[in-house]
Amino acid sequence: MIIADTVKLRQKSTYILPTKAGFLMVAIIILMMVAATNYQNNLAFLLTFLILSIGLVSILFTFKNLQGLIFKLATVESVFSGETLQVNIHLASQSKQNHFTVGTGFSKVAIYFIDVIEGAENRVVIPIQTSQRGWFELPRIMATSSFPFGLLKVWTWFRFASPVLIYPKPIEPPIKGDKGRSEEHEGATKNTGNDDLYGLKTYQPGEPLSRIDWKALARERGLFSKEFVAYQSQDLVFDWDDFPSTEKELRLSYLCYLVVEASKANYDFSLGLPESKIAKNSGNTHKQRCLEALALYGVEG
Amino acid sequence: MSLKQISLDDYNQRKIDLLPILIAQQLVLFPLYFFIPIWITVLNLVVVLMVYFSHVKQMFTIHPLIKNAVTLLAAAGVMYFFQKLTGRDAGVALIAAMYGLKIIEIKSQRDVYVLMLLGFFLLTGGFLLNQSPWIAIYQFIPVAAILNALISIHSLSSFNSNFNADIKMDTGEKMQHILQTSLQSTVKQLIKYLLLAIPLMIVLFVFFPRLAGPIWKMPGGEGASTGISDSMSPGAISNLQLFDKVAFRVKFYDKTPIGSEMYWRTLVLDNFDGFTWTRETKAKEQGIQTFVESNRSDTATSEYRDLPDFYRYDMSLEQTQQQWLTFLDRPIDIPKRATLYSDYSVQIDHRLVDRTRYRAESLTKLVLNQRLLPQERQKNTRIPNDGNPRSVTWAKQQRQLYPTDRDFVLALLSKINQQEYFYTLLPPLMEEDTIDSFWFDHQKGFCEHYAGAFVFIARAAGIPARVVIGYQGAEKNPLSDYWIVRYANAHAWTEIWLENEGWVRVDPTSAIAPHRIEEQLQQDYSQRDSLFGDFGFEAVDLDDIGWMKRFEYWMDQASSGWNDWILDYNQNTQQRVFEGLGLERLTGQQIGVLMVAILAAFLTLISFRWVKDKQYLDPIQTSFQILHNKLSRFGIDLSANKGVNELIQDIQNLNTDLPSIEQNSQAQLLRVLKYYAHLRYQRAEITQKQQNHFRKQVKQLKIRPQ
Repeated sequence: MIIADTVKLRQKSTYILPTKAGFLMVAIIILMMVAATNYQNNLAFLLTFLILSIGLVSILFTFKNLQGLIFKLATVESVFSGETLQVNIHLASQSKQNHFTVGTGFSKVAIYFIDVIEGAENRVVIPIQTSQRGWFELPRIMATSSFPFGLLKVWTWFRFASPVLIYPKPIEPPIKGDKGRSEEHEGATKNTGNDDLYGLKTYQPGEPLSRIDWKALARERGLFSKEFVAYQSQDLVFDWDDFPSTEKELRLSYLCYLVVEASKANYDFSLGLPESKIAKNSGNTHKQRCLEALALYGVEG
Repeated sequence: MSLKQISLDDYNQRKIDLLPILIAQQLVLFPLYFFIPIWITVLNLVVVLMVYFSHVKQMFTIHPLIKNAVTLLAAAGVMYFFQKLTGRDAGVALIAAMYGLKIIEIKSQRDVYVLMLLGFFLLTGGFLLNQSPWIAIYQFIPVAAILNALISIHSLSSFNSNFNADIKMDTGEKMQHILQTSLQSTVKQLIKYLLLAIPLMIVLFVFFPRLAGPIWKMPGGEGASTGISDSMSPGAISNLQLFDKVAFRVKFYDKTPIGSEMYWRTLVLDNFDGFTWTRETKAKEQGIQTFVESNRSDTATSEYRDLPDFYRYDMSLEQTQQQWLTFLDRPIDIPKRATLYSDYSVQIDHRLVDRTRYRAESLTKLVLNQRLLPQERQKNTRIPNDGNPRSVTWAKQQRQLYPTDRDFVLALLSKINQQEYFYTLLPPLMEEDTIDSFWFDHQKGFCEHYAGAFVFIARAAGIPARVVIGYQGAEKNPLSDYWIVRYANAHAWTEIWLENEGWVRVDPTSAIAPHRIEEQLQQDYSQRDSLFGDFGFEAVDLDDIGWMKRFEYWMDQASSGWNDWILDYNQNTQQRVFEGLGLERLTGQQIGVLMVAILAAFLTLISFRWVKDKQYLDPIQTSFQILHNKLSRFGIDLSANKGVNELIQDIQNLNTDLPSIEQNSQAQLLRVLKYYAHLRYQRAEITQKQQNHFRKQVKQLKIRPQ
């Protein structure tokens, strides 16, 4: 099995077997042969041998439809654990030929077909469920085809070498539990604004729709709006120690939630983990760094 | 810009485009439409229109009851029409009807496969009815259409046809262009499949071991076909089919007789029961044997081999399922195993189930039975006591007018020539007094009618006469040096015994005036011109062969070549070729192996074009492959569904699943694996330096067991 980020399919470890239709064709060829022999009919023999030859040639063509295909792992968007990872694969033909009805998938029952047309951008996106934060090694991928005639099925397995980073699942921390917020918050005036999430209150008509806590709504708890608080203090510190006596993964999930929400609000924040600290900043790159740090916390490699 | 991807579920539930299937099905059925009863054709076409407007045009849906009703109707129709559902014609009609109806039941991809692949079998059925070169060339069209239908059900184009709406116009147009070119390339590929299959087909056709005869005997049809049987009942046949099938091939040494001398003697029929002519003679000829034996030694050859009517030739007789051999009239040297009878019929001790070759010699003007024994005379003038009274009376009247045997015979010939006697292959049925009915009432028939009536009348007049059956004429294969005699050349003539001349060949059919031969017949079966035309023989001009004729000869040569190369493997010609190739004598099995080898070589040759390709590898893949090999030799599978990190952890935790490794090499292995993981997990391209480093590390890695 080939393990790389750019995989070119070769004849080695490519399997081929007749399909049901292929076996039917064999039966029909035998039937034709019997008829031709019984009537000693040379034209019938010619036809029988033509069909047999087409069967033989189709072995090559079925092979060829998969051979020389290059599967290249395109950048994969990291997702939060539990979400579906969309694995983006670019397909190209090395032999400058079109490959039709090429199936790709993580298992033989979850195959996605595309035509690989020379000159077009050929992309297949195969989804896979994630369940753990950290480096996610993509399972083996099946490439398969029964083009042109469906008489034979050819398939092979390969793996992409590069793992994909999976962020912790964001879980909303319990509101009262966040006593670990920065000391500056103590006693600070709480002004209702849209800068920082403080908690939930019952939705008041007229409030911006973006504040509705859709998750709460989905859980059929009622209509809540997220209460954002514009702290007078500018510094937000999300720290490992904010959630004492909480299980490691859950802590990471809480922190992840806060990072995501704070970034959404475009707020400056810093992230503190036992072995590393990410200084106060904002923006997308900062968010990425924080999420990576959370994803890789305590992970080898 | 990219094409839509289709999930397996969508793919399996896709709507099948019936149009290419419909086209392929009709192209398969088309040649059969000329042979099956017209109502089946009409039924099929109605079904096609129904399917076209309901499935392709979506104008209405067909009620399942209608489907069942139509199917039952067709089965009942075939049942009624043919009374019994056996035999070739009924079988083909039934299959054609069922095949035509099958399309209304297509629901799944499986149905499509059954319909399309059965199409190949139906084409074979077509060849049983018609073997013209047109059909042989035509077969490529339905084969291509079936392949096209198979491709179409595997193509994603039906999904992509309506994607244009999804994307912007300009990209849509570009995409459409790409799709169109891709479609053209599909057609090109289809042609490529066929072109690549043809050489394989030829190899298989030439080399594939075949059985000599049918696996089981098929029930025959009611119509008579030309060819030789061991009896003759002229009145019972109302439709004579001329078969283009080859009866035998012959190759002359030194010289070739002219067409009017090419009478190929097979069997003499000397007994008539009023309806059927059969052979009675049991006496073996002694004279010829001594004659031949005395001349067999080369020293005495000059005696008869210098005669102008001497011919030496090789016969290659197709299987006849009978024991009679055919010779150029009249044989003087026959194969040793054969028996010559006093009537110059030659029998062999086994049925001819294989194509048979033999060398023979003939003297066309050999005098037979200059003296006729009384019992021979009695036997050859015997006619049934009752039946055909008009002919008997008429013969006796004629006898009064022509007292000599010779004059009587000439008068009969001139009657056939001058009066309204017609040559036809579709004579009326004559059930009682067949001779009377033919000679006086219908005056229409083919050679058997003429020969039978002629002998009967001669016998009624007291002249010894007998019927000879065999073949007349031959056709030169201009591409080779042999002559072809077909079943259509089958012929019946007479021999009349004349004082001092012995048995003289008289062919009453040749006396028919040319303008009374069915025009159609003259056109279609030019072989018979040798009977009626001014020229003794119809030869095909080498510079003026139509391509149809050329194809026919080619086919004949192919099957003759097939015979020479495979079936007659022990024949000298073959041996010489294989010796020429430096091969020992091969057995049938070895020929099979040779065939498979040639096929494999050809397939390899055409696959080579795709194998040669430029290197396109992941930067560290080669090194990784080496690492993988090293580890797998040690029982660790890197490619298993397990990450490198897990493997590192397993080694670190001294997991018991892993084979134990010596301390130093374990550390080394960990280092390599960690570096590999580092390269993979780094969020940047792998540099050349890193590649080299990794390669070196892998190369130096030595794993030793503990």
